[in-house]
Amino acid sequence: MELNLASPKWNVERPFLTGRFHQETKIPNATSGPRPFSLESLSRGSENVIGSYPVSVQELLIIDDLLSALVGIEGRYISIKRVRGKEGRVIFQIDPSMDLALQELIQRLFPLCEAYVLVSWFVETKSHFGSGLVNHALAAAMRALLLDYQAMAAQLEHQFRLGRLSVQGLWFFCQPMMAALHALSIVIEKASSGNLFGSATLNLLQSQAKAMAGDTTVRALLEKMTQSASSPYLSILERWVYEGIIDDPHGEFFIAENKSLQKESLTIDYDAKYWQQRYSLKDDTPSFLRSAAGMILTTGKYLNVMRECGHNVQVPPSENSKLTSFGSDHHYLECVKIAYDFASCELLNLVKEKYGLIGKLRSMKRYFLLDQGDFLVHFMDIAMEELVKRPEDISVEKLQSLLDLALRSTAAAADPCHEELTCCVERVSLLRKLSTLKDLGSSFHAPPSKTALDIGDLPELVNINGIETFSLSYKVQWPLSLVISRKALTKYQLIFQLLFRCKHVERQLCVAWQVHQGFRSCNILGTTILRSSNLCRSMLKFINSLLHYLTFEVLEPNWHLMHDRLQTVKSIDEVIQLHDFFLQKCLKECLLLLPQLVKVR
Amino acid sequence: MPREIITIQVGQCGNQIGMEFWKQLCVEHGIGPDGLLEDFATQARFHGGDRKDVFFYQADDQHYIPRALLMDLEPRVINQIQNGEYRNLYNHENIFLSDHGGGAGNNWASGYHQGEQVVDDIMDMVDREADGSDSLEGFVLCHSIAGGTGSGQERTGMGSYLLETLNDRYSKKLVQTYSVFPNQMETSDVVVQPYNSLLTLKRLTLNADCVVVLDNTALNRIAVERLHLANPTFKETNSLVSTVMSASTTTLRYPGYMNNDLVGLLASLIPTPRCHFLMTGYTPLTVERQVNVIRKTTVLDVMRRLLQTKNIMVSSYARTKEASQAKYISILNIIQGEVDPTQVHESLQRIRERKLVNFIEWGPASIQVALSRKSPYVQTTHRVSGLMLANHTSIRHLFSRCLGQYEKLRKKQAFLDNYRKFPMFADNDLSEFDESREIIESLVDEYKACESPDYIKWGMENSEKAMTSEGSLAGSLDSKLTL
Repeated sequence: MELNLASPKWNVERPFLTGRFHQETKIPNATSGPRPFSLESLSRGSENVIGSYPVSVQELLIIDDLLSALVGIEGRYISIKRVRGKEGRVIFQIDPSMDLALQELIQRLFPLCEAYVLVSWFVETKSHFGSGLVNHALAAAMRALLLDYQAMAAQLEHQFRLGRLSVQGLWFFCQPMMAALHALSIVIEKASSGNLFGSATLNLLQSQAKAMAGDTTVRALLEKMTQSASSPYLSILERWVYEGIIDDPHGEFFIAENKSLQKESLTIDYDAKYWQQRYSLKDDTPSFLRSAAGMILTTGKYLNVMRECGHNVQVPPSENSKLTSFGSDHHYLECVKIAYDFASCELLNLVKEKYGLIGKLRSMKRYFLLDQGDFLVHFMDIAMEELVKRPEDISVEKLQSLLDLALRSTAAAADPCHEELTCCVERVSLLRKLSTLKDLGSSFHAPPSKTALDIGDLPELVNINGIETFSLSYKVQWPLSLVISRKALTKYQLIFQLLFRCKHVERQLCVAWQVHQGFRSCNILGTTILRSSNLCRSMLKFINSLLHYLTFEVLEPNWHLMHDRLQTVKSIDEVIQLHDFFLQKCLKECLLLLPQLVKVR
Repeated sequence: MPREIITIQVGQCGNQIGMEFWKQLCVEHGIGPDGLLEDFATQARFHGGDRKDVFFYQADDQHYIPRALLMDLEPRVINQIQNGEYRNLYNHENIFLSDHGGGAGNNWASGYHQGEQVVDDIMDMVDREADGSDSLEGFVLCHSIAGGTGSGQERTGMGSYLLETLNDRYSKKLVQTYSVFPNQMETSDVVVQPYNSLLTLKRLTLNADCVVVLDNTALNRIAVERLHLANPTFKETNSLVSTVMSASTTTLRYPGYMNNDLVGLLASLIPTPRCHFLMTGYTPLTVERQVNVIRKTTVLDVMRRLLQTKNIMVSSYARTKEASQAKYISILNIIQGEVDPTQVHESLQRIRERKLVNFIEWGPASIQVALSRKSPYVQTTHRVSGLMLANHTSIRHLFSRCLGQYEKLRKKQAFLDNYRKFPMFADNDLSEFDESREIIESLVDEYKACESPDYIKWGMENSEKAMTSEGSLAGSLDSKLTL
């Protein structure tokens, strides 16, 4: 459309070839009076009004004219007037001097002629490049019908030449076409008034067919039209649900692709919308697909993911898998369902088996949730010197090498995923980070609450060190980044930072405990040593209880729950949902969403 | 190889326990008697999760070698080990046998003296092992505080000397001991046993960070009552000890969320420097060759059994009135097996509701639970097993009893001549005895004070005394901090 592809020039130059002359202005005809040349030549120079002939002659004359009118050509006694403002609409008029009875009979045939002009106008305009595949197909189907119609007109003329055709006969023979073209003209009227396109056209056709339920022939016709019109749509759909490809040059399909969203954004962008918005439903879903729209969208999405992974997966074709019609038997819905089941099952297998989703999640749990915390003990042993520095003085490379060392020399070495782990040093502390992440659902952002403001305005502590800002990171590969997206990773990091700090406090207390152990040689009853060691004990007890709560009462049960459910999931969307739910629940139960609790320094 | 632990086994009892302990570790980690990984353990599906390097290191030829030092003054048990199935497991450089041989009249002082003389050789071995580890966490000492029957009580003296030296040389490292206390029900044929026990106890109080008390009386009782063995042999009671030892180290060997280092494990259990004597309980108990009675094990079931006195490996010598006042200072339950974490929470709640545990009143206290995986190579008929490490004030009665026996002997001035032969007690200087007695008494007092709600303020009302003791403490504090 923007391409401004015009139809060939001869299409304009020879309006009679394409029926385009109906669209050409007829106003000069109506205003300037003189008949067009072509008609002039046919008029045999007769100036006689038709009324001057006997009725039987009138009939013969008018049948001749009428046969032209049937294919949209003006005759001597029948004139065509364009209706202003309504494209494709014309009105046929008859010479008023004719016999009234005959006139009446003839006028009954005019709607057919008008409908023909309208339909041929529609066919011509909608065959135009920009009209979209559905309209093309509809136009083509109508053109086929017009061919029948023209054949009928030719046969009628033949009969007329043989002298066997009366006006009544003509009227009789036109009956079947009359109903058909009338129904079509209603459709066209509606379609062109709304400038309908793509699925809207299909919707219209379907609703018209339904509205014509009483008239079997018309209904059959409209259904046939629907079927022809929908066949390009179906092939778009077919490619989408079977191959995950959108082949839609005119933007008619109800799924839109947003190419600006790259899958790489999943691992970088916290608010990545790739999965939600890379493919999305448009507003104009065809009504017959409305119930299955979501399923169709996800089917193609899944196939797409697999293609992006380099797996050219296609839904295996079977006898019944060809999408032929949107018939009422809902065969197409079954096909979609089969394709959906296949795609989701295949993708899930791919992610689980080939890309080892469960293993990855397990290793996330090991490193971020400290499921096997021995590597951290060692890491803290060797990295403490670096970690107590200010964040800007910390060498991340050094930390990374220390982390690698710690991973290699502990139980984590046996985990093939340990090389994906990297460390990072944030610029802000956990608390600050929590308050900057807007959509965690925490009460940090409850506007009326004063505490939220307090934290937002809190100046960053000057003496912040690496302990408070250290965090792990994980290289997640596509397609696992669908599940472990940047956002999910951030949540893992939040939990890790909390655990890390608890562990750090625990270590410090253990050091203090060891100092106290040095007083074995003294009787400490009734001394301050006893008090201080008791304080140390209470603190240790608290931090241990907190850690116990975080790990055994929050992380572990929730993880188990998720793990069990992951065994029975049917699609990747369910996986994502379960995983997000798990993280959100953990965050909440780790009290990270309650600023008044975390704020304690 | 971080946070390594070196095991030192001293004397007949220590070596026997140690032998069983290593056997158990080898089985759990899939290490064969020759130190090589068993075929099934090299398969990938079992990989990950276990930490062999805490207790073993790998030789150049991939053999796993225990970080163990074996010491004795007489060769019988060590010879047994050297001729046994696991003879190729140990590093033979790490075996120390005294040239003097046994004998010397079951005298602690003799052992102590001998220890003094061979200290260089022994410490060479310790240093070598310590240098071989990246960040040594500490030492575990297996020994008996008064030997078994028959000869060999002087070895307790050697153990004591070693403790002092270790504490001196590796003051920043933890020292944990598994100490077997003599059977109080049998009258020992070693008459000087009470002397020896007292002198060893002093070292355990002052030079160890944590003492896991294993009472032979209770071990025998458990073997008879729980395992239905008519005459439990040393081997059988020792296997109970090794079970406890290996179970108490599972969180180090099979790392989990918490308690991945020894210091964290102990710090939560030990409130004050001296109250570091732990009791243990283990359930369900089995010994080799025994036809297992299969029973249902749940977390609650295991936890409840662990709290029963009959399962605790220290006998209670308290009279009823005193027993009712005894309190738990801390409890750590290490639960092994397939456990649903939600069960833990429920079980703890049930135990709290039923008031099954009597905790101290002067500070926060609760049952801590550490969940640990089970070795994939060991097949057991029960799903869940549990070890309890508890700091309980009733342990003081064990010490009181030792004190009592000592007093009886001391009043009669019996057998002191044997001790006077050695430098420590030369010139009739028996102050070591008095000092030890005093320290044990104060230990008993401290545990007794723990039973009172105002333990923290105990002795504070006597402000004058507090002042002076604080003054002296301040001095010792300075000296400690400069270390």
